[in-house]
Amino acid sequence: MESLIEKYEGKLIEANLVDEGKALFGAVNVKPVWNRSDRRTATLARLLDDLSIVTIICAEPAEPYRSMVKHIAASSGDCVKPHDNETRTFLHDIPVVGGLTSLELKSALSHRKGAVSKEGIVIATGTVSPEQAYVTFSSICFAFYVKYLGDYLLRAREGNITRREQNIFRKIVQKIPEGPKGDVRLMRAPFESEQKVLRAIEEAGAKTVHSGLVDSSFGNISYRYGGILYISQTGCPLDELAGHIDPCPLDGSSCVAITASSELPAHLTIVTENPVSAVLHGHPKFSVIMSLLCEKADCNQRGTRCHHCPEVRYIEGIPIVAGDVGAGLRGIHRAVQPLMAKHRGVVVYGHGVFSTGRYDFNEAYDEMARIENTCRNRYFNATDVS
Amino acid sequence: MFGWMGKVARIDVSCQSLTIEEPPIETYGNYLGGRGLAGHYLRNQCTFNWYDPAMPLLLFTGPLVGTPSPTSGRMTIMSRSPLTGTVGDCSVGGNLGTELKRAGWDGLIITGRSDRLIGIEIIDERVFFADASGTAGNSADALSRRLSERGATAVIGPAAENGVLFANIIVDGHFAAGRNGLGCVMAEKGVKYITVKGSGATAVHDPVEVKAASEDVRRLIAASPALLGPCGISRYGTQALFDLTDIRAVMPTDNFRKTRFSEAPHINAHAYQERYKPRKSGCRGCHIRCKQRFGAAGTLPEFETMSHFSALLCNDDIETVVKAHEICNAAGMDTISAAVTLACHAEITNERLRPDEIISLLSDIGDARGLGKELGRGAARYALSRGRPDLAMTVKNQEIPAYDPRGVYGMALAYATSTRGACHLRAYPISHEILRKPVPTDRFSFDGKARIIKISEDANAVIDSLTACKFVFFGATLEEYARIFQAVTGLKCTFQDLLHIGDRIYYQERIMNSMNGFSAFDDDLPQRFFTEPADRFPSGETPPLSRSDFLNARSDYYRIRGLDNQGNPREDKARSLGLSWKA
Repeated sequence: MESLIEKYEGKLIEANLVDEGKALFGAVNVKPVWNRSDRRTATLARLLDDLSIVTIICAEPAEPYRSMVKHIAASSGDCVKPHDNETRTFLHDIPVVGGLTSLELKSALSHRKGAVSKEGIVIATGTVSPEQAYVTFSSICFAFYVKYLGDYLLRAREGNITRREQNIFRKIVQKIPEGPKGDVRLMRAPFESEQKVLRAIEEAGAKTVHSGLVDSSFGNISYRYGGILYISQTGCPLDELAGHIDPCPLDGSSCVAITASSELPAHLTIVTENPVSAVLHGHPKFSVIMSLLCEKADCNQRGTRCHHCPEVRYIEGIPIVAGDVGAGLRGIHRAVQPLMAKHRGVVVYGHGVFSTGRYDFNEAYDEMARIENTCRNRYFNATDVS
Repeated sequence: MFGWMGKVARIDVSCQSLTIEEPPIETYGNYLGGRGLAGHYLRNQCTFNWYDPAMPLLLFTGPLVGTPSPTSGRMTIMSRSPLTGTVGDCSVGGNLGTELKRAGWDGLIITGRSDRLIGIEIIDERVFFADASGTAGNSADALSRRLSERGATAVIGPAAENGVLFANIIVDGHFAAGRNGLGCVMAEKGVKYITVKGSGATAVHDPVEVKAASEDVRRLIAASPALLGPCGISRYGTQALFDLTDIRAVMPTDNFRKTRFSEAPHINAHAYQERYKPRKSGCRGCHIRCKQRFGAAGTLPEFETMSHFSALLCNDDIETVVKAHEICNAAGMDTISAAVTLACHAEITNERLRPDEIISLLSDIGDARGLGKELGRGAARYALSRGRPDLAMTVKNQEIPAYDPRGVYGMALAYATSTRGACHLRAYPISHEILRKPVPTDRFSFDGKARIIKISEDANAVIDSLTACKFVFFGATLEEYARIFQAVTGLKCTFQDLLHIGDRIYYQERIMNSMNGFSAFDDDLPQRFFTEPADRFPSGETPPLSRSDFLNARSDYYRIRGLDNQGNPREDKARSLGLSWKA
């Protein structure tokens, strides 16, 4: 447990989710272990005692997440319901507690695997491993980021922003890192062996994380080589792919890819229906934010059916479609694949971006970065921040 | 009352009488239904011999059965196991649970012994006793087909009538209430079949909320590669797991002497699809539909059956596997136990069983003929009688399923601590150790596993009591099901509340087993796993389990579960859970 706590505390810092020394991370098998001593340890230890959980993180997120979480939590009731797909599918909603008392936390964490406090502290738990708490922590930060910036733009369009809110927004925006650079050079095709394919996938996955196009716990990646689609395993961080890439024979002759990414259906249809080899799927934040802002006037489905909207929208020629994670009748793959014949990249409503490369990951990466920078520029232009 | 029907039928087959019991709401709240409620009703008789007329055979549904909740068409059958002597239970699919609810019953408690073979026929609130002497020796599948017009069915086959200790009860012709020999209990009572037809409905407190919460579950099912993914069990049935256990080198082979079978890639799910062109089928209220049917009435073997009738017996003939599965289903006997017992026999006799020998021995077991009669007592008793108890791959006399514990340490602990003998489903650590859900854990480590196993056991006790299918939890969690439970029953409930109830259900089972003499001595694995290495992928060896690491993990488990250092329940813990202490 100690080594896992150390690993995921390191990842929180590396991903700029938490500043060094700020995360309180505990886990329990028989006796609880903590990454450091802290005045809140006794409260959290009681939770580990009282609840059927294995691990807990309690931390004030790093900027700009900190200000975003704080701002939303302070002005919310006892629950926040962001509209991004990750929250909708896996978290459903995020409880807000008044303070970090064991009573309030116990109540919130008996309903959900994560919560935030009015002061902007994020608490995440897991019933299996510290990684689970890390993923939940990361998901909550992502959800608040998207919600804060998305809500602000919506209200700005409506002319509903106060001067105070504008000032807070401008301060927060200054803390947002720069957009991804498009000059990354990745391994070039042709790849002569399975080993080289695996290395190319690992390299592209890591670069996608490091450039901020996806948080470490999300996203997926694949490459078609011969009659096999090599694809990242479900839940595998794109910067830790070595040994976690499944071979999925296109003729269906093996089920080994039962552990593949939940977006395997999308990857499969894209590579079998189009002349592409590489597929990259990330959750670049401004693409997700802009996808949530539909400008269609008087839509009677707004707020109820957006995640299943059958229409294709465009931002500067980039298509936006809707669909659910994974397989099923409303699965993303049904909406994404038809557009890939004419586009190198497609944004999925509230979710992320799929991009492709004909030969290797350079095109796919560049397209994802281009989409994200386009959405980012559009966002800041719309909010009068250049 | 919402969710529950408020009535349990006590049926005494000795005098063919029916008594209606109306459990208080507290009892429902404390035990939910299914496995929990069945355990509650078993408790006072749990020390009786399984063949004692007073020993109940319990069939219980749960509050979600008969509602739109995803995968809720299941139920539990429970008694004391003839095979293990422990609590014996099985969650089973099909339509029986739903029909029982529609007929107005939360459960049946069947006691007594009929002096002639009978059938119990239930139509709504009426219970009839039919002369079934003409069905003696009938196969389970054929009798199920004949009775299907009378509603959902639960029947026993010749194996149960002939005293095979791993005889099943077969529901709706294809769904086995297996593992523990529950068929023998039904046979001992002189009941050949039960049919149920109902016309009512389960009242739901907030149907709109149930629908919304069920949508959350359906989204998670769609997002789970193991469920609806292109290689998942909705597409290939549970056979989808076969390739993975091969490539992870946890496929029990040659009576667990090896963990890779060289022919596995040629006899995988794809090979079955090519040969049998199956169509999907499933339990009532499930859209995953993991059952694979072919021809007029055939079903393809599920993963455990497929793996054990091939790799475990070093058999690479698919048709033999399908035939073996058919024989077991017709005779009404457990495929895992049958295969492990045959593998034990093969090792003891130092022979590799030919396909025709596998088939003929299975027929002999079902008919209690010759050597089959000995084998029908299970691997542990057979091996003991041959002076080689070390070659029985069992825990508490129950045969080990198709995941070798040397490659999945959580499963090693789960096999040992299971209250019904070797069972992959009590804690189901395959979810995180193999399928990476909700996140992956190190399958070669015991670190943290004791608490994970304890929490998973509690969760699965809840799932078996609500009821729902365990497969759903490759995607969903009790978070979503707590919301459904609350919407169905109108009772305030969080997922942590449910886990607390799961703790109570599980502890009750530990108490019952303790009352029957089970302790740390029984929470153990065969010596082979501590002394012999296994295969590793793509080559090399997986070391044997460290005995000391295993014992430390088990000690940790005892502490976390609130047991003493011998695995016995403690009075303070029992009382804290609201359970009565041992009589």
